[in-house]
Amino acid sequence: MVEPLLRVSDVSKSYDELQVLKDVSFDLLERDVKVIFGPSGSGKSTLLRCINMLNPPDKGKIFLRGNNITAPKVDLNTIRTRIGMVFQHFNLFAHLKAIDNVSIGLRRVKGLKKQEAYEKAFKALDRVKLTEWADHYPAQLSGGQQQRVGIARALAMEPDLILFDEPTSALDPELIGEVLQVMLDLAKAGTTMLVVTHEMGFARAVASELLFIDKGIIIERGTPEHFSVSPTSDRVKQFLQQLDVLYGSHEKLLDILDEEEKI
Amino acid sequence: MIFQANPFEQLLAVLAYWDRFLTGFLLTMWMYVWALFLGFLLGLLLALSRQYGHFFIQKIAIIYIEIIRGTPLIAQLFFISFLPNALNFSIDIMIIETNLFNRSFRLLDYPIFVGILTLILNSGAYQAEYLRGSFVSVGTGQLEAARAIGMSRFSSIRHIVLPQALRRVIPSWSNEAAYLPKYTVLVYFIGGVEELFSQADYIQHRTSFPFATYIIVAILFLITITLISKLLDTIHKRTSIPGL
Amino acid sequence: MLFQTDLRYIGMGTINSFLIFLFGIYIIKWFLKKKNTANTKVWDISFNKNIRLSLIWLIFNLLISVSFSFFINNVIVYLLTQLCVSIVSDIFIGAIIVQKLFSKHLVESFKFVFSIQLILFGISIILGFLLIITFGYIFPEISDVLLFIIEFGLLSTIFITALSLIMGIVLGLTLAIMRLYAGKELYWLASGYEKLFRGIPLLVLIFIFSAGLPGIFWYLEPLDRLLASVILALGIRSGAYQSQIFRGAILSVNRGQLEAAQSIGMNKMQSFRYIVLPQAFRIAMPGWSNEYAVVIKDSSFAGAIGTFEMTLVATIWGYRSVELFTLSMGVVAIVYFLFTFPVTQLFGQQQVKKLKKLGMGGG
Ligand SMILES: Nc1ncnc2c1ncn2[C@@H]1O[C@H](COP(=O)(O)OP(=O)(O)OP(=O)(O)O)[C@@H](O)[C@H]1O
Ligand SMILES: [Mg+2]
Repeated sequence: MVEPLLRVSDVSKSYDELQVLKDVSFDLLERDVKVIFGPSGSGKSTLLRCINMLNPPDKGKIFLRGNNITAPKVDLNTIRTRIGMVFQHFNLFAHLKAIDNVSIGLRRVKGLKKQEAYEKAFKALDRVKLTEWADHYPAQLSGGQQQRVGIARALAMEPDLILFDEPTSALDPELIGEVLQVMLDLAKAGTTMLVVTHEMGFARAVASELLFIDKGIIIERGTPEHFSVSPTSDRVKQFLQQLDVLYGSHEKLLDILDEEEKI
Repeated sequence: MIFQANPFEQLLAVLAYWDRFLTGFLLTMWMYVWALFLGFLLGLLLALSRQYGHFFIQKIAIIYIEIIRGTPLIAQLFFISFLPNALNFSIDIMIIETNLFNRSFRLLDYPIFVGILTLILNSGAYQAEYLRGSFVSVGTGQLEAARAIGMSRFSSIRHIVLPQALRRVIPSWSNEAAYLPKYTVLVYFIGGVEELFSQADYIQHRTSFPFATYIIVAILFLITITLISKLLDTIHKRTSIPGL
Repeated sequence: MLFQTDLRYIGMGTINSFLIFLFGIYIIKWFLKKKNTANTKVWDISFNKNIRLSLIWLIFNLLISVSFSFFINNVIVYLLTQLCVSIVSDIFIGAIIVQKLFSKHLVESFKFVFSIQLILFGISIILGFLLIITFGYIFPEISDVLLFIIEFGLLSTIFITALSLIMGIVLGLTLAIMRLYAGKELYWLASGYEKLFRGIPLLVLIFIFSAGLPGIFWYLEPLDRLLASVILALGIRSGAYQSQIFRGAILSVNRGQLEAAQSIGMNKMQSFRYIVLPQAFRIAMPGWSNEYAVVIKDSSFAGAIGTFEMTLVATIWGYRSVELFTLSMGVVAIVYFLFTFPVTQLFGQQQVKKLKKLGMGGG
């Protein structure tokens, strides 16, 4: 058996009395994409933040390439350079231009020279097709562009995997496409990704497995086909129906994108 | 450092003049209260004209506010107190006098008048800026909504904007309320006003214990300002509207 | 006579240079606006560059005007020479600026700047003569007081303000960090310090340090002791206020920024140093410029214990002839105004607008 890149085993987390995650376990292989979805407040963001150790879990272990990162004496900062994160609200550094946003980690954390860091950052910006916006401040960019800079910032650190926390849910509908397209490209290039999203079209296109979380528990898991054909629990069916009402149009949009690719 | 007496004895010697401290303190507070409230009215007037006035009124308000805020209070005090002298006319101010602790206690005479007037003119400009900030934070939407239901410009400002703005201004306004007592001491420079600082000056010359004297003045101010801030805090909590 | 100069010349030259600087900036600003209405972003960036280059322009001008004042002692000749020379230099520097900004041909930008400078030349000659006539002949007292204040008080005021502000920054930042990141004891210490020194009037502080504790600066000359106690009092109090300013600014940097910094592997120190602090400084700018205005205005208290600074100097002038007391107070007020208003405008109002554009500070 191949050793998984990321292994989450029995992770639990509570805020005061409220238990947000209950014994969540799953594996993520190299070059694999998994999608997590579920209703609001179900603990999806909390799960990602546990994996990134922004909020360390109360119980359970997380392994990155077999190393337990929840162990007490692990250097979290080096761990975090290996796990990229893309935030729902972008969280770009407001005082830095796009290129500096992407290169600051390289310079300050990895200790690269300015020139070298810029070259790498430029390559990362190229992958999200934003090279001509490199000299702009975040506030001068559209939401979609900001999120792409956020992705480039994570990419530039050359992490083992990237966590996406609802990367498109703060965006206007017409901007979602450009971000999803970038994510599709990444997935096809073999980036390991763990994505929280409700974009089922995206999930169907690239995800190997979908995890449905409700109230901190993985209720159901399976391939995209499994969820679109025969979800077992009622909760999932109901949720997917709601999603259909809300997101149906985007799926078609993604199908179109897909077809364009094929041609 | 050489002390003739130990700190405790010094304090006792200085505190023997408690009546002077007290009258001085009362006079300071008396000026402060006048300056704060009349300054508030002036500030409200200035803020309204700066925010909602016609072009020229707006410009006049801006110039006044910026000049006052840009120049030191001492210069303003001197400027105003010598103004009649420079323009060759004299002002007669009614003298109000009472007796306190067997000493005459003046509540109003020319120097006190100048002090209060300058403080009003000065504080008004600062308060105007705080008030304007809260007008801005109420936003134009409220005004437009009021106009949309047919209120006149005046009454929509009076009934919609002002009540919200006055509530919002309390936290920042309490800054000014806590600032002003500290600046009232400058009236000392006019001379002839027996407020706390001049009394302290007198006492330290009599006892030659300046440190103890000024420490007591400092403590008096500390207590006053803490009380004022606490008071305004409770007022703010009482009057706040949920969700604002 | 060689190497003998009149302060008035330097004053005139300075005023002229400022005028040229201001007109230059505004004309280029107007020009840029006309060119780039469609693309505001480009215009933003180029305007910043423009300001930076114009500052060089200004400094160059000042140097010229001051150096010329050493050789010529006729006001009108001086003014004309100074103008001519600075205009020639401005044309060159301006041409380089325009060339840099629009990557235009040098000759073309030269023509452009030349025509602007010709207009400026006319305006500033007229203004210069007006200034000479008003201050030299109509209100000679005003220029006398002004020069007296500038000569004997200005430096001291600036010195007091600068030192107190620096002390205030160091204290304020330390206190703010103590309140935000250190343990409980330090938190109480810092907030107690703030409460204490925000509650005591500055004048009382000054008297405590100068009269109450005459021993603290035993190693200095008696007059310097007064100065030192004023600076100490101003700095200590300013620290209490600046602590609040910095704390507020640090708190208003979005939480997400810190998380994003950690997510790319920065440690606490790094994310504070490279992400939070730079933003906090920008957010603190408006509040800090207000604090600067407060300190420079309150440095006038120093006169109360006999330290030489502008207000005391003006008072001395006033006592020379009591009828002129109000006038000298008015003049000193104007000088303070010139030192506070532009700063609070530039770093206050303008900075607030800029912050909004960058989407920083609350939200
Ligand atoms: N710092 C915190 N302190 C206390 N409770 C928290 C905190 N962060 C999250 N929670 C709670 O934990 C629960 C799960 O939050 P989480 O953000 O993980 O949900 P989510 O699935 O990402 O929801 P959404 O789809 O709205 O983003 C929520 O009920 C939330 O109120
Ligand atoms: Mg979430």
